[in-house]
Amino acid sequence: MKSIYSRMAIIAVLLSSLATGSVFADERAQAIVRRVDELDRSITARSSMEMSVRPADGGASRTFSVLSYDRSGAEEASLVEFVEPRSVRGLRILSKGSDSWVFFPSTGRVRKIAGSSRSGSVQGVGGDFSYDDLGGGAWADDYDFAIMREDAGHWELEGKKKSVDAAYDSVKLHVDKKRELPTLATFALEKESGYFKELSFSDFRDFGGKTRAAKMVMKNLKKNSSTVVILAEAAFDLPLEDRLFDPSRFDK
Amino acid sequence: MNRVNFLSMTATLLIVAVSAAEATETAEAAGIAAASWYGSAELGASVPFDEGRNPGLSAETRLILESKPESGIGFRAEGGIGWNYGTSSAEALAFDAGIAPAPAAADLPPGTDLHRTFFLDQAYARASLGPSDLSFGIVPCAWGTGYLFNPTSRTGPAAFPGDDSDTAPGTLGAVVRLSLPAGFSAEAYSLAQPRLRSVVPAVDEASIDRFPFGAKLQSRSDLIDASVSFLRELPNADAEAAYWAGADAAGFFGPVSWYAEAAIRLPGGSGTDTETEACAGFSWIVPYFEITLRTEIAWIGSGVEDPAAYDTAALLAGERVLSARRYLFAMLEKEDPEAAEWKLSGGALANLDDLSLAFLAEAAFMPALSVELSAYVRVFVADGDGEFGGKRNLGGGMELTPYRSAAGIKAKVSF
Repeated sequence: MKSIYSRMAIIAVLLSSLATGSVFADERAQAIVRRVDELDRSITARSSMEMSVRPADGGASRTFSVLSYDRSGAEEASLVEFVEPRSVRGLRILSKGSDSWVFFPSTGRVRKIAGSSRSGSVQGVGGDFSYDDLGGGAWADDYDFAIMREDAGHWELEGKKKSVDAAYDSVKLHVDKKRELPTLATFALEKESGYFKELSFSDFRDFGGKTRAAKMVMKNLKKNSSTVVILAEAAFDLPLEDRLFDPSRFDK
Repeated sequence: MNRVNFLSMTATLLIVAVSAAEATETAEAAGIAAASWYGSAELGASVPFDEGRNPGLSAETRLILESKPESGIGFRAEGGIGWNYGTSSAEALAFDAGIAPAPAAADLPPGTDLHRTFFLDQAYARASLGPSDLSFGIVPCAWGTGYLFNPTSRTGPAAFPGDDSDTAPGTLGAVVRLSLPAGFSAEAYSLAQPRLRSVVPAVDEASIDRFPFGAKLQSRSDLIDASVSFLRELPNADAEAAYWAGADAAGFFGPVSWYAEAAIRLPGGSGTDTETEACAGFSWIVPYFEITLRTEIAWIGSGVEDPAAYDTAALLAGERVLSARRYLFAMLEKEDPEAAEWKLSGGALANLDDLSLAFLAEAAFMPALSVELSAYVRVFVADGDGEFGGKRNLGGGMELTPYRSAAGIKAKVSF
């Protein structure tokens, strides 16, 4: 499952064979990530959410409504569709493997997104989520994790980039020991001189039998801007049509 | 834009609007949003740089209706009305230049007002059946990977590069798309209209042996998106069909997105010799500044290198917009990365044969999500009879300047 939701919920499908041999990787950290992944895993997911972009200058928030469809497994893919406002209605972003395509309803054309563009904000939307944040790859496929700190309630893990498709050079995850779910993720890029974005998870609720954060806040620590995502509905393991995740058909 | 009969257009929109409203009520009762309508209203004003020229005023209201009564079934219609006054009116410019005589109001059909244009860009139904999607009606068919030029997109009327980048006007016909294994897909269209539509219907214009059609095999994969295509194009109702073979591709070199697209007209049909159209370009986000750079180079084999030989008759007939062979385009774009509240863009299209230039710059500000205010300037620079900004001799002492420099403002509200 690769989507704004799954990304935020830290889905990490970790192949232990990939971790073996890594100097940085920590077996206990990988086990924690695997457990996080198990709790979060679903075959398919459909969710609706509101995304509010809050500029750094304190200007008025701009709120977008988004639908997200996700599929995990060998054919892992995610589709994000903007529903509101009307000016970007129908804009769709399909992410599959390391590839992303954008469908612009005004022109009827599908454009492939370059790797470098994927780290930028969504055209016509802005905000602190990049194309990669909206659809990127599985965390454990992209990073080698190690435990940095631990207290009674949390683990703090740090992941170093191991895949060329990883959106960031490194990430830090705070994982709640009781829920075994992340409460904070921090992202670093060399070109941004280190850690510059953080994503917090709160208001954990039951959605269709699975515990999920109903509120997620992505902050840009350098610009002081933030983007708030409120998860309104989510349903899991329901049948989703293949065409939603087909690069040649997702625009229909 | 398809000019359509006012009454039938109004009736169509009303019927669809009522159907959509009814469907929405039904869907809302079921807890899902199956139908909706939305649109935009735009008001614009422009001032030509030519001394003594009057300003232009324009307005456009666009309505979009969408219905999804059940999974895999859908309908979409997009149409509206536009008004053009002063130098925003192509008819006014033609009458003023003496290219066409201004008709008396009494000579026009009842209800006709040449200030006003009704258009129906799209109105099609879609059905997904297993691995295939079938769309029919007035359906968009935007092929090709090119940003400005699309040699493999040969279904709609010619448009100035970029002018068709905001909408996807459809053509009457059917499009079928079939998903194939290994990331491949096939797509084909069959249309009932030539690229340049005739006003008067004729029985033989729907002859099956002259139907425009196209078929392509496409692959979207990790490394590259690519397609090969075969097209039968009908430039206008009286012309012989032309046959084209096309190909396009898009991919990346590191941080640079590249694309290429080409079509070659095959011998036979309306052409005895082969003819090539091609374009290639790239886009790159300049690090740190987060500015997008786009460039594209194009070759139009049917064009000419000598400005004196430019086909002005074809330009006036709407059969072609560009007359030369070699063009180069470059532009820079910068969008507010925080909240997409503003966007700046500026670029130039150069005619490499006569070295005339078209400069285009626009600044847009979105004070609210549904409101866009913009200002633009278009400057055409040419020596003598250069394509962009130059004059063309029409004979009989008449001259035409197809492209005139102007500045303008626009306000658009999406609802």
